[in-house]
Parts: sequence; structure tokens; C-alpha cells
Amino acid sequence: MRFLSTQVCLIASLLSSFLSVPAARAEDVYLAPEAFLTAAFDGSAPKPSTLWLTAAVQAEVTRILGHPPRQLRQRYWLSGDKSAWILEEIGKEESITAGFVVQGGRMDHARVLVYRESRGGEVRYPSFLKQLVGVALVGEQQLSARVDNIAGATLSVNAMSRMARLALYFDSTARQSAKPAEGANAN
Amino acid sequence: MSYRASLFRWLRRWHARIGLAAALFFVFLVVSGIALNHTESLRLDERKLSAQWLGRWYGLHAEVPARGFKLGDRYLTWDAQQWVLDTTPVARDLPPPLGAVRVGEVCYVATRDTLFLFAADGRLIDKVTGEALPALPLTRLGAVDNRVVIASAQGIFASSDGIDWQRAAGELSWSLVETLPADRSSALQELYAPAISSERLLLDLHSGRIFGRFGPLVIDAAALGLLALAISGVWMYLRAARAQRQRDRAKS
Repeated sequence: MRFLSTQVCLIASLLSSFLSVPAARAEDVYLAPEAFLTAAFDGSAPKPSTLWLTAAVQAEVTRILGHPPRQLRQRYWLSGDKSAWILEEIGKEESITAGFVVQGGRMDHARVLVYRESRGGEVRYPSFLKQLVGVALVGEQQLSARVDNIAGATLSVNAMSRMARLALYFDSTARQSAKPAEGANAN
Repeated sequence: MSYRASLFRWLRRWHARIGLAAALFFVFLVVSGIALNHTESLRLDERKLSAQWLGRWYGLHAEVPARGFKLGDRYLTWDAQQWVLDTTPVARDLPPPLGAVRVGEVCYVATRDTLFLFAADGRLIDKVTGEALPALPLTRLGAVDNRVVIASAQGIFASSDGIDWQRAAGELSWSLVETLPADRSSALQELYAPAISSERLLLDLHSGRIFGRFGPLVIDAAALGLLALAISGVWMYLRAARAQRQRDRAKS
């Protein structure tokens, strides 16, 4: 019996190693960023604003993403208590572009805009994305609800979760940095 | 000796021979396969190998750019794999830039469809593309009155931040490629030495492609050997189990 189980283990690991060769990469555009923004703001996206990533913000972003931010300035679109963020994060090897709309400090909705990985594109399905609706940040920049994994798409799921946390963090940071200016204007 | 018994002996002998002959292959395939499943955590894509013999094997030669865009006292150079600001790689796998200018502390670099903003230390500030640009494709990049200027078939536009654009006029200075000073060129030798990522090397070894067009066939042969091992192993196990059952029945 031990002989057979050894064979089965060997075959399984070898098949896994044969199958590990990455497939060809492609870029799938599911929704153009402009179309995402237009839909997010009911047909008319506001002008973009910019959030500069100060040293403190960079440190927090590094904590959320697990690596330093890839750019020092983040564009976003703000109207009332709604803000939209287009973010990029690497799943396994290639970046995923996703759009997030935050309203009142909670995730209103999220969309995968461009997917470049060879596997894991299931994160674009509404059944996955609806888990992000209504989540907020709690504790140490964690999501208030658990995001279920998709078998075979773990790294893409993780990337989407990190970006959702980042969008919520950016939203609160942008509003905090806007407050002093509003206060000064009121005075 | 019966036909079945001699077949069993023959099969067992060849099972062992194939197993021994292919053992090293299999160990390598298992180890490399597991490593390739964890390229990110092992950072295989970031580990570059630039040994000369490896470059020769892949047919790669160092091609140090002789020209670049002047950005104040710095130069932006590029090849098919990377953009380099002085001696700092700032971007990978992008098309050749069509222009680069420095406005204040920001270095603007344009391709046909994207405007990149880099800080003086080479860190990416922003990447402006799509409808955030007033017109596409971009054809030229320049500067005027402390603003960056882009040209397209729809006209010439200027911006102070890469986001707000207005139509531009006046004395524009367009970005032009310049020949690099000799000392800059020699400083780039190491940076532009051909490098292969550990992931690529491991992948090519794993698939056999590194050995040319016959390499994958060798790996296919190893895979068929594995199949033969699996079939013969299962068959021998079933046969041995049946013989054991018969012995047990005979005893009882």
C-alpha cells in the first residue's frame, strides 16, 4: 500500500510541476476607466483631484499593500460624499486595474476594469464583487467584512482586497486633508 | 515460467530502470515546478542573472544606448527592457519614449498614449493616460513657460501638473534626442548588460526550451516515462495485492 501511495504522491507532484508553466498573458479590458467614472457619477464625472502621498501616507499604504506605493500622486474624482478611485495592483505577475466608488466612508461598488493576469479573472464577476459592497475600514485598516476566496484566484482576490482597503483609506485621507482647507475657507 | 510471470519480471525490471534513469529529471521537474508556483514569494522575477555565458547562450548582447533625452543635468536612456534616468532604472517593458522634458523638479516622459511624471530621484509620481490627456496619440513633448507641452494631431496643449490642459502657443521648445557624452555611455555599461530573470531561466529549464527546439521533446519523453512508471506501478501493485489475497485464502 505504501508503494502505491508513494506513486500517487509522485505523480501528483509531477503533474503539478508540469502544469505550473504559466500560460500566455493577455490584457482584457472589461470596462474603460472613463466609462466607469461616467457611470459612477451618473453620466458626468467631476474633474480629477489629486492626493499627494506624504511620508506618513506612504508608510500606511506600505502597510496596506505590503510594498511601497508605486506612485507618489493619486488621482481621484470627488462629488459630495462620493469619491471614485482607479487603482492598480499586481495579482501574481501582472497588474489588475480596478475602480472603486466610496460613499460615506463605505464601499459603494467596485469593478475590475482591466485584467492582465493569465488566471484568476473570476474576480470580475458580480458574485465576488458584491462582497465588497458596504464594507468599511475597521481596526488597523482592515475590511469590516470577510472577503471569501475564489479557488485558483487567491492572489487576484488578495489584490482586490488590498485595493479595496486602499481606496477606503485614500478616501478618508483625502477628506481629512480637505477639512483644514474647508475650515480656512469658512473663516 | 509462465508468460504472465515473465512479463511481470520484465515489467518490474524496466519499471526500476525507467525510474532510475528518470529520477534526476523528476527531482528537477518537481523542484523547479514548486519554485515556479511560488515565483512571487521567492522573488524569482526580480532576481536577475547577468553572467556572460548565459547572455551568450540566449544570444543576447549588451547594447548601451548612445543617445538619450537631456533632462537638465541628467539623461534618460532606454532599451527594449527598461528606461533609465541617469543610472536609476525607472520603468520596465515600455515602448521607446517619444520625448522627455524637465519642468521644475518633475521629469515628464511621453509615449504615444501615456505621459509619465517622475520625481528627480526617479520615483514615479503619476501616469496620465486615456481621456485624462487632451488628445491622443501624442506626437511630441516639450516645454513652455514652466509648463509641459504635448502635441497631437488635434493641436498643442500645455499643463503645469499633467492634469489640467489648455491650448498652448508661444515659443515652444521641443524635446530632442541627443548624443550621450562618452563618460555617461561608459557608466551605463553595467546597467544595460543583458540580464535574464531567474524565473525565465527556471521556466526555460523546466520546459526544456533552454536546450533549443529538441529540449521540450526531452521533457515530453520524461513525461512519457512518468506515465509508464505510473501504469506499470499500478499494474504491479494490483497483481501483488491479488497474489497476496490468493495466498491468504489458501492459508485459511
